[in-house]
Amino acid sequence: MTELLEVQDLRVRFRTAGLVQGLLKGLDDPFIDAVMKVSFSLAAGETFGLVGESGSGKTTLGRAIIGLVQAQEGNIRFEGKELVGLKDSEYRDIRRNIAMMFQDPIASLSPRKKVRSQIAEPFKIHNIKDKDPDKEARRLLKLVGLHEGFLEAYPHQLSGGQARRVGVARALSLDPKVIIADEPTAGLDVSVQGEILNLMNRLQRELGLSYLIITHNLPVVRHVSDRLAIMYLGRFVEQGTTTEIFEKPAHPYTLGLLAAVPEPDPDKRRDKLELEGEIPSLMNRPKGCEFHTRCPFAQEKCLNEAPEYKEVAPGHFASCHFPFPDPADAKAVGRHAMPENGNIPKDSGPSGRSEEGAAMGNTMTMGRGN
Amino acid sequence: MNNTGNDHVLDVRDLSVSFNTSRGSLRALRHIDISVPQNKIVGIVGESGCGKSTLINSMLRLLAPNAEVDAQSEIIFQGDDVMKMGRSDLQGLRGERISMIFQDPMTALNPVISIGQQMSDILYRQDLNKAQKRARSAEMLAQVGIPDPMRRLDDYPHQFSGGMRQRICIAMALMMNPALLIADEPTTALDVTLEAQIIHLMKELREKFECSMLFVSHNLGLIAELCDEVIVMYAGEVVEQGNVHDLFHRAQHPYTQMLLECDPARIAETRRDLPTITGSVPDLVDLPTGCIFAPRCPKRYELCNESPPGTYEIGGQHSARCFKVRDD
Amino acid sequence: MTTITPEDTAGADAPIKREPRLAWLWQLLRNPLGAFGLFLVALIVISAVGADFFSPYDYKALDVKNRLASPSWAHLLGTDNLGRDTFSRILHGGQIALYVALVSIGTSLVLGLALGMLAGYGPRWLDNLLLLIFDSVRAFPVIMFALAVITVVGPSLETIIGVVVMTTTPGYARIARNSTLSLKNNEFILAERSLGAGTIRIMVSHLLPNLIAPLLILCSMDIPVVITIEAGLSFLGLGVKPPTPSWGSILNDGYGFIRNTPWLVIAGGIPLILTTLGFTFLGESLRDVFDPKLKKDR
Repeated sequence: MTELLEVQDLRVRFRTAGLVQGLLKGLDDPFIDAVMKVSFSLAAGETFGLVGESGSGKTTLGRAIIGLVQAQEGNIRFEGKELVGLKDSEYRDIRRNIAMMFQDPIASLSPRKKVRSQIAEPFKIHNIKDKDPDKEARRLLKLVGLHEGFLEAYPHQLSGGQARRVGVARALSLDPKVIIADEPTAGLDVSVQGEILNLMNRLQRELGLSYLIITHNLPVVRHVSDRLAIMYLGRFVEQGTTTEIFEKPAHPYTLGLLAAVPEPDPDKRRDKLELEGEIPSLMNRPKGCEFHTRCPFAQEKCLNEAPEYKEVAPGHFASCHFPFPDPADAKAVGRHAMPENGNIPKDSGPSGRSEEGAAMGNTMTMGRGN
Repeated sequence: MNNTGNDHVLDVRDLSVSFNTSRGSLRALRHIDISVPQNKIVGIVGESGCGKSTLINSMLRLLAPNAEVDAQSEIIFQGDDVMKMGRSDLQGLRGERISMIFQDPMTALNPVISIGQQMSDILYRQDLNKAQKRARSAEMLAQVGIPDPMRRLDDYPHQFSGGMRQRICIAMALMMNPALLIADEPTTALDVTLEAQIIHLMKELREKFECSMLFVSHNLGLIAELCDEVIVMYAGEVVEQGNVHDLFHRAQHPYTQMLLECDPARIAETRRDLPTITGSVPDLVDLPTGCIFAPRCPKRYELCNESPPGTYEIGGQHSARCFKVRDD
Repeated sequence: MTTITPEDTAGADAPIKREPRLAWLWQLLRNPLGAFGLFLVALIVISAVGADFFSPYDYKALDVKNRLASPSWAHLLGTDNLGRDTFSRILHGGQIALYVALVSIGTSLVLGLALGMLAGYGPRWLDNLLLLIFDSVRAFPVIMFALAVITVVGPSLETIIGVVVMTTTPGYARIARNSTLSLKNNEFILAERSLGAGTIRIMVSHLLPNLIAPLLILCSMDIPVVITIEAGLSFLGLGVKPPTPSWGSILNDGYGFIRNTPWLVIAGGIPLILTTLGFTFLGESLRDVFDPKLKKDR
């Protein structure tokens, strides 16, 4: 399969303090790495999921691919063409092929413009003369299942679901090959989530689109993506096919994420593996394995040595010294000097549960249908 | 006069609330009958526009000025009718006997006052001196898992992370040992791993503090995880209620059934075409005649469009507002 | 068996409320203050624009025999010290006032928008430079500055306009800059960039329409201020040159002859009061109309 999009060792940094401020605060590196050495590829007709919580860098990665933020190191190749380092004007052509759908569907539409003009805009931007923007707008609305009356609506008159469809229509206007969808179901009720996802699925089948889905919603991503990657503090900690990751997760963070998703069945309440503490600040990355501060399986080696991101099963990558841990081995994380960001020490408060947990033999929900 | 012959902490009877808008009267809640037993967690699940926010705001009489509560509505809390309370009684109720936790911890806390001060302020009704109040506040912070609580009393909300702030809000809500804790989507703004921690915390604290809880959420998983009883709301009505096992395994109302079927976490086999509920929530100013869910209900028949169903019992505590329940 | 069909066109036929044309106008008129403001402003504008049409006399025509007359059917507001019809002079004074106000505020608006958007959207160094300039200019007290310039350049309407433009532009520019900064990172701007929109298109087509409402309101409130500045300067003899009528110069004349007749002062003062009230009420009501509108329909 030809790789449509290839990302290699991508790094995106943001400045947190100006020159003077940095000196005053004694920061020897006034930057944070929002995305750190990320590599993956997307084939035509495929859906790739980027999964992570806040600070994971997934949104930044999506924005770097479409050129809204600059990457400092690494490569992004679309159909063989290098995108990193391109100027804004050079990016314009690429933007006919890669489109983005934003998280807040109403906020991503220009508030004082009608739907008609929002959908027709890409044609004006790229000076496309051989198509009638009005006709195209109607065609696109029909494609996403909205009737023509919506052409005259303003964004604030639309419901969340309707605005999302307009977003899809706009993204499709120039016949892109890739759509990056940032939290396509955020804010949607469960009963209407399916509408957007089914629409996207149908369009993929009909138009051969590829999707990069950015989300923190594990149940949804399980249904819609072919492959996925789990991100933590800007890095990929695990990558592989969706089925395999849900059935045999390799990285403890993935296990924690899966366990944290509440199961809608009261009979399935059991003690689950719980990740303690909070996500460390990007300004204060932990030493050694960056996940060790929250890892229920952390050992001496993890505190000192950063693990390599390598293949732990065919097509399945993870960065962990001890991949595929047995949940029964979950134990208390040793006492560390807790950084100022407020990680909860193991034996204070009501969460002194890891000792109990290990004693009881934590069981976990893993995948579905097992 | 205490007229609870039962062990219910809260009894809502025939609550109906409308809002006066420029388009007419918006009937946000219609004939709500729910109750919260002693020491139990009751979940309210519903999607946008179902009226769950209006419902919990009514309980503390925090409704907007253009709200109108029907005269026959009663909200009996520990024997007293909240709707008939005077101002000072109401203030005594809020924060002390009924507490609330909100969705966004950042806006629920005052950004320019230290959290120690905010927590001590809650204790204004108690006869304690400053040091004692601080000690009590620090103790509560420790209970919710904030490390180094004594020192952190002087910190401001922005110096804490989102998860910590929600913990602080929980501590503040429990400080006066309320009989009822209302939590309005308390974890929606948090990452999923933090959400798991907070839910776990809430379970533990509720047992420790022996209070009842009303937990509002749109997330079926959380409801299943946490609640003893569940109330399902749709467009201003309670369409089904019962204990959590009945609801998740033996749901009778078509809306509840469809809601459960749509939840991607419940769908075992991966599939690309996910189920949805077609149509949209009805206009609450211009209500349809008949059952509120009829326009979207795949099981409807003639009667459903003509008159609204009453609430029919299925068994024990389980009831639903559907003609099929009565007729089957 | 529940039949759930994966249906893609749900919600497709939900009704869209069509907004009536000029919805904002009807809303404005519903507000009594807004209606009154609009009425006053309309009155002033029509009488100024149609001053030549409505004036019974030539505002320069002297009739010294009838000087300082009280109002009568012949002279609705009496005459001034040279026998000129006060009513006609007031109408033409309105022309002067509006001309000064609209030209200066209009120019300030355009300049302020342009510079402000540039500062907000452009590179940091440009922002810093422009801010420095804005703040320095704003540091000047307006009247003092006007007096100084007039002393050097000589009094005239153009001078007044120039001074007003210089002193109000930075205020507008700052507001435009702040709004631009806050809108710059909004999702819809990011979305436009992701579609390939260039800077000019973003600034003109997407930022501008969203910035302009608060500025227009401010302009409406500033118009009476400018008119008053002009009147004040003319009162001091530093504005228009005789025989051009300005409300301020009429006031000045009236002030000197107040023992003979109070009517000149009244005639000079009332239009100023009405203009200030009218534009202020209008501005306040516009603020109410524009702000909650975006929140109303959700």
